Amino acid sequence: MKREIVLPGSLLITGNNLKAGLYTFKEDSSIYAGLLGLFERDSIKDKGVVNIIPLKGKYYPKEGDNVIGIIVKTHLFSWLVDINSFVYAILPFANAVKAKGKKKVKKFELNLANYLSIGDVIYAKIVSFDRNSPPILSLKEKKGLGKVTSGFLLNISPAKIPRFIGKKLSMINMIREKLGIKIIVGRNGRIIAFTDDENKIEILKKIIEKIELESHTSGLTDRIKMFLESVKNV
Amino acid sequence: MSEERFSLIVPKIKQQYIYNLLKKGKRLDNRKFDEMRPIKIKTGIIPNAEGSAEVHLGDTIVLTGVKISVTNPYPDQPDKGTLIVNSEFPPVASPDFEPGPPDENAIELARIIDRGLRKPEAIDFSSLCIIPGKKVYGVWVDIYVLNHNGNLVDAAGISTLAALLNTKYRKAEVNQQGEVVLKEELINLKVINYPIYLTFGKILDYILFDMNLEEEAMSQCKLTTIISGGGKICGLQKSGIGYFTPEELDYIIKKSLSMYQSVKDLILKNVNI
Repeated sequence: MKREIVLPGSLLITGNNLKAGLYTFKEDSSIYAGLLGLFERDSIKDKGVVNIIPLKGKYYPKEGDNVIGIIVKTHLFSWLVDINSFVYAILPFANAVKAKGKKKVKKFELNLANYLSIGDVIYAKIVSFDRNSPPILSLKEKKGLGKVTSGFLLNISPAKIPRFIGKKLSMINMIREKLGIKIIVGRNGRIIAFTDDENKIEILKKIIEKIELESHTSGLTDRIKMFLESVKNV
Repeated sequence: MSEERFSLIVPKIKQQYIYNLLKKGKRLDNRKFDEMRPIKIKTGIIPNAEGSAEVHLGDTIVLTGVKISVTNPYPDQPDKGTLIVNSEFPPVASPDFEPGPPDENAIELARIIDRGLRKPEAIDFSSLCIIPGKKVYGVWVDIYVLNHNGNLVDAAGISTLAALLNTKYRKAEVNQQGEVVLKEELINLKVINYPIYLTFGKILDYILFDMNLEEEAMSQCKLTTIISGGGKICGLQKSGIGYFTPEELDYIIKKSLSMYQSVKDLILKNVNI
């Protein structure tokens, strides 16, 4: 699993039947890195898709992702939301407020801050992101989305979120069970832990640090499990 | 819309967490309410300047350069050296800083630092006279913020003091034609007063010393005290839309006076003079 650090613009590989995957671009028959990241030569395999794992960086929005956002501005019919990306997302009023029964929210009120104001934290789904507009969010797609009113906010590199979740939720469920707390995960590199226990928060911070440093190694889930079991006895 | 930029907005759940910590007498980075972040000082890092110093106050980094050149004195002070303090907030230091001439925050910082140097005579300005009424040394203090993580004033104050203590300039002599000639010999700048800048901020009803960026974003107002001359208040600067009660003002001033000596000693210990 040899990984090399590559700079933006560095030549990765030249050949036929190669495709530019994540964070790379193709010129003639050569694939170049588009970001500062890690390149694993052996990962190309048969499909010929060349990917790069970014070392750091902002979140790249994708339709269908659940993200944890912070309201930064109220417009007339929508809110502007910070999702830790190179672009702010928009939450239209229609996607945020549920109509109760037959009474639809039709009466125009000037102050949108009655529903959500600057600084509020939301758990939202990206329902659209393409060349037509910035990412559009919704709070109505699923149960569990909406304004978050308590909890401790943590940050992790967005590139490490898949590892934090694990295959089939293996890592995140193990952490939830061992710590006995509710945790929600945003694909944009934000995590909220619902606990007041300072010790549990410290443990979670250490786990995040471990995952950021060792995400590319194998057996990480087991090592984190052992770590959690050792601190539980403290 | 995507070109808009927003100053640091602390999410409400984090604000709530910080308020709960404050009620328990704690801060997010485990410091006491009157505790300073760790300081690192490096002097003499700009070879072309007569004096320079870079200070790390936690993650806030400020660089001060001192240039000394022969110039004309101010008409109302014909036998004293001149002083100009300038500060810049380059975009590299924070997403909040825009390119261009110094904005009001940068200008305010320069004026606060100036206030501790000029009237209390941190520098012996009389020693900078070359030909009374005609030629004196001018001291140019340039403050550059390299990374903004809160409390730029205190960091700038420390870097400026360290830079001045590190300043050496060429000795001037007047030749037979009455012209000023700069010799090779270097003399130390005479620093006779050590101004210390201490900034306190208010979050809810709590007074915090040396706030980091997040605490500043949550604070209603700030008060900087400038202490010099062996422990006397020589300046105050209050900023922000909030207010201080007379009791809070009293507390801050008393606290500053009691902290002056230890902060001064900490700076002098870290500066190899």
